[in-house]
Amino acid sequence: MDYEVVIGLEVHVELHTESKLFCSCPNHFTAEPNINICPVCLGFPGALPQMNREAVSKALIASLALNCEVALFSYFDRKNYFYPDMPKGYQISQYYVPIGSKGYLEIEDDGGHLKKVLIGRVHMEEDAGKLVHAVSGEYSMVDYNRAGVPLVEIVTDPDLRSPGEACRYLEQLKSILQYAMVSDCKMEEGSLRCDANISLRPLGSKSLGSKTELKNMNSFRAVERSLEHEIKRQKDILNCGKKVESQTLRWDEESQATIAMRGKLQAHDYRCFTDPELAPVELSSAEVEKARKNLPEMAEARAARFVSRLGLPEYDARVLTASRVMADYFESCLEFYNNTKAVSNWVMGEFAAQLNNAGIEADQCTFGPEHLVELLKMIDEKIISGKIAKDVLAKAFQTGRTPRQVVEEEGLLQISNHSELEAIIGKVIKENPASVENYRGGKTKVIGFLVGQVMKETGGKANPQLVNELLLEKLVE
Amino acid sequence: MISIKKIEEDMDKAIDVIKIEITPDEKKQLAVNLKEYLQWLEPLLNVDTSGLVEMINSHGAVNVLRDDKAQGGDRHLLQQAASDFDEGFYQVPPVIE
Amino acid sequence: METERMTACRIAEAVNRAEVSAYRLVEKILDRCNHLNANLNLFVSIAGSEALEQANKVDGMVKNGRSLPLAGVPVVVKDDFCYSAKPTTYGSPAFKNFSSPFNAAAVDKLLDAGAVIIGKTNLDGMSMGSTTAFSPNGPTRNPWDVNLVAGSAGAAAVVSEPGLIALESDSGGALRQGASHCGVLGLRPSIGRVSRYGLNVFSSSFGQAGIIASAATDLSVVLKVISGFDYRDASTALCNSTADQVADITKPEQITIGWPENLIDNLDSDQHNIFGQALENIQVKGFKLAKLSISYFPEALRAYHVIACAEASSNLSRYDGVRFGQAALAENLEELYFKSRRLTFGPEARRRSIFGTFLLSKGNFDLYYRQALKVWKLVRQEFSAVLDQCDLLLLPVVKNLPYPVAEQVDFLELYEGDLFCAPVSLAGLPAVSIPAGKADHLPLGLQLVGPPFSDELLIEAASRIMTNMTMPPGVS
Repeated sequence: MDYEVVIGLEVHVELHTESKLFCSCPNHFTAEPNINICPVCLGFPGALPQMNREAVSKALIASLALNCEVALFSYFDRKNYFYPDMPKGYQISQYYVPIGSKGYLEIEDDGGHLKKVLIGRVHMEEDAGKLVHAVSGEYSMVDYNRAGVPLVEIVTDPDLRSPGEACRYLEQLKSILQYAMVSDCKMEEGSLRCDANISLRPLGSKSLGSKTELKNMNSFRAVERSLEHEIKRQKDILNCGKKVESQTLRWDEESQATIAMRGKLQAHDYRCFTDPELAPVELSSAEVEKARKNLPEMAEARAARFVSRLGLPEYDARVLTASRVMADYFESCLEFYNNTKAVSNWVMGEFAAQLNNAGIEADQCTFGPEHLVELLKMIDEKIISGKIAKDVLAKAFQTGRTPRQVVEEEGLLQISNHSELEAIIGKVIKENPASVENYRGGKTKVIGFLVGQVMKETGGKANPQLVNELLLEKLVE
Repeated sequence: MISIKKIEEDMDKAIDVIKIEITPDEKKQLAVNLKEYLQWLEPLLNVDTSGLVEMINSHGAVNVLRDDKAQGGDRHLLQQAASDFDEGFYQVPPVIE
Repeated sequence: METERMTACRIAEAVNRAEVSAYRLVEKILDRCNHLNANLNLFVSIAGSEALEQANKVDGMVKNGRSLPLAGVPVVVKDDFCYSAKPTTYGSPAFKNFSSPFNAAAVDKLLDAGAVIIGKTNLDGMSMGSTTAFSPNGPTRNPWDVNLVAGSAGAAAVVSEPGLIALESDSGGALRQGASHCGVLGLRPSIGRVSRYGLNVFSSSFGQAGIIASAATDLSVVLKVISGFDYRDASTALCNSTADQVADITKPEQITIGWPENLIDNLDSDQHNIFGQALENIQVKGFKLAKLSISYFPEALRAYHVIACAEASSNLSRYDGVRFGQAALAENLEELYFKSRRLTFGPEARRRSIFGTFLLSKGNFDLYYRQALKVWKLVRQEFSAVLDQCDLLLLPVVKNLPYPVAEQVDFLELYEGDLFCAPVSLAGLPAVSIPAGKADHLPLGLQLVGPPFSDELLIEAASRIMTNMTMPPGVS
């Protein structure tokens, strides 16, 4: 039996604001628990919520960037339930009227064709605190730093048809929201979280099968793998003629498997009703249109600009703009340095490799645009060779030093001193009479070997062009 | 009229949701009270509200927004109010997820 | 200097002129309050040393030439307002030792104006009720007859000590009814007038911070002090967008006071007589009268109740023992919630939490809650139409005289007691309860209701209309 995979994704994204959604507590990650707290986000008696203007603005921008219809009048509702990470005993969300609805974004399907993934709703809500469990299992602990952080929840229709599509959706969503400057979208840091709903149905069927919910995936890869795992699990069940049980499953990264979450999936009665304290948000069509016009440049537009204004090849432009922080990094370099192609090569190449190795993004490393520029200028001034520069970048990146510091401390200055080089060349010629003979005998390619020997003698630091010149001179003598 | 049994069932659900310990005797009494309360509410249900739009809140203000500025506060005062605060965390009985 | 005939305004005047020291005054008041407390059970806590400290400060400022609107004025605060110097108990046994990390906005404003906080007054558990019978500390007794409840401890304090101001809360009418039972003035301000930040409302839509005083001028001065936009309470944005409804009170013939014939017909004979006398008095004072009819009072009362209960069940969910309040010993999370909340809530708070949950649950939500939201709209329209026919409304305040202290009143009868007050809360209108006479030797009040932000006009009209109440017997 052939099955069609039906996937819907629910993504929560932390809005990049200075303060929380309903209070002035700082909205940034702090390692120490229970620091960014106040009577409001802790639900103290007598405390009332105060709506963050910037959070509304960013939610509006997110809605527009995702091509949503914007609700000109939206308000906030209470989702009532008890949990230690929910200080008020209810979460303030937008249940009845989300700020954005009927949106979409475009991805490539598995066949490489462009397809629209419909987004049913984009709404604002507050985050919960964090629950941590004691190793002994005797108690649990709550950290409320995150309670009240502004989120937007983005829910797709069940439009995705494979784990690959799910991944591409997440990549594209991340790109859009990063470019819109709405959020950092860093799954590893928790500023982007994803739950997946997945069901299988016989090919050709229009009705939806029993769906399971997958939680606790910490990376896009984990989303992909957990979906693959679940597809296989559901296929096995269906092929046996059994029914798939509707439940919530937790992805366990260590065992690379899903675990059923303990306790029956109770249908919570959230008793949602409109929050009587908060004033609704009323937007004018003019405001919305203005925000739409002023949307920050998206990835595609930036890539197009790189091609038309900077003369970069399309491929380069696409790679560089895949993440906004990467594109920002690239453009920052160009503020101090003209050779666009060189910057592009190094950013896409060595720099990106270092980032991948370290598992971080371009705005999280100490090797800033000014450092890359310093490196490139040193190559231009022939202080170091291109080959050595790769080493220098790696060392600077990993140790937090500047390229200049690395070169000085490790004595990597390119040797361009004629007499010094001539001495070494002389030595190499003496030690390789056969090769010299071959060269003089007409095998001009041998010079490569001889240059290599000089480079070896100098630990790679000799200026290769100069070595070539001087070697030629000496050989001709 | 709703039967007292249905009311008791609904009340059990409500107590389970709102998480307040109630003794069996109190439950019986509350169920009787609830029945009386619902009877008392009947005139409300009989009002013809067709065409009326529901109120959202009592004040009618819109767009009351605060500038996005971060401000620290005195977390110690807050932490002191807790019955069980230790080593930087609010302590609760073990939660199984 | 005798404080018995004092008003808060006179106290402030005298202190500002250094005719009397705030410290000496407060010393006397504290003494008096301790004595009253023994007889009437007014206070949850008395803030003796803090009050004297505040009084000292005021005297210091006066010496330096500062003039404060409420210099040295003694204020008693209902114990559902947060005040960090003393426990804020909210009428709950689990909050006996709870120290709020901040003061309520209204409390801070009073302190900034030179007032002195004498103590926290008694209240029904979670402020749910109009009698104080549901207080874990027992009910507050009525100074006019100590075998009866006072309705509001603040009102009992003010009638016993007329220079006092009571900061009180009003949801379904506790403030106004308490004022009526004790023979003093009680103001429920317009929505958005006074910041509720730091006031533990069980009903977000209907809970308001209000004032009880012995003189209309006191109401006026205190209202000015505690009013104003506070970014922490979104409803106070109305202060910036709504103009005060004023009228020239020196031309009472230009002011029409409407009264509902259909509601008066059902009053008992005492109330009926007092209402009739009030109408005569109003005419004598020069106002115009308009006989009219207001519909939907019983339905409004029920709509108020459904919404207030629903909101209460949600607002009270934060009381789980984790961040504040007493936590019960528990082996698992469910036990922690069930037991801690049992410790926190008395019988009425339990009842309303459960009923509110019931009303919001699937199946009942549309039938009761949404219907109530629509009736709310209807009632607003009704009052609006009525206030097109007059400038102010005269309504009864209480349905019954105060109950005996020992009596266990049926909960529905207590809800019915809000018949004249809850609809006004639902309509979102300001109201002032004014002493209108005596029934069975007990004070009885009536309320003046006006359009939004007509608070000043209400107070001025009240001062013209009210009959003077003498000191209650046996209280000196």
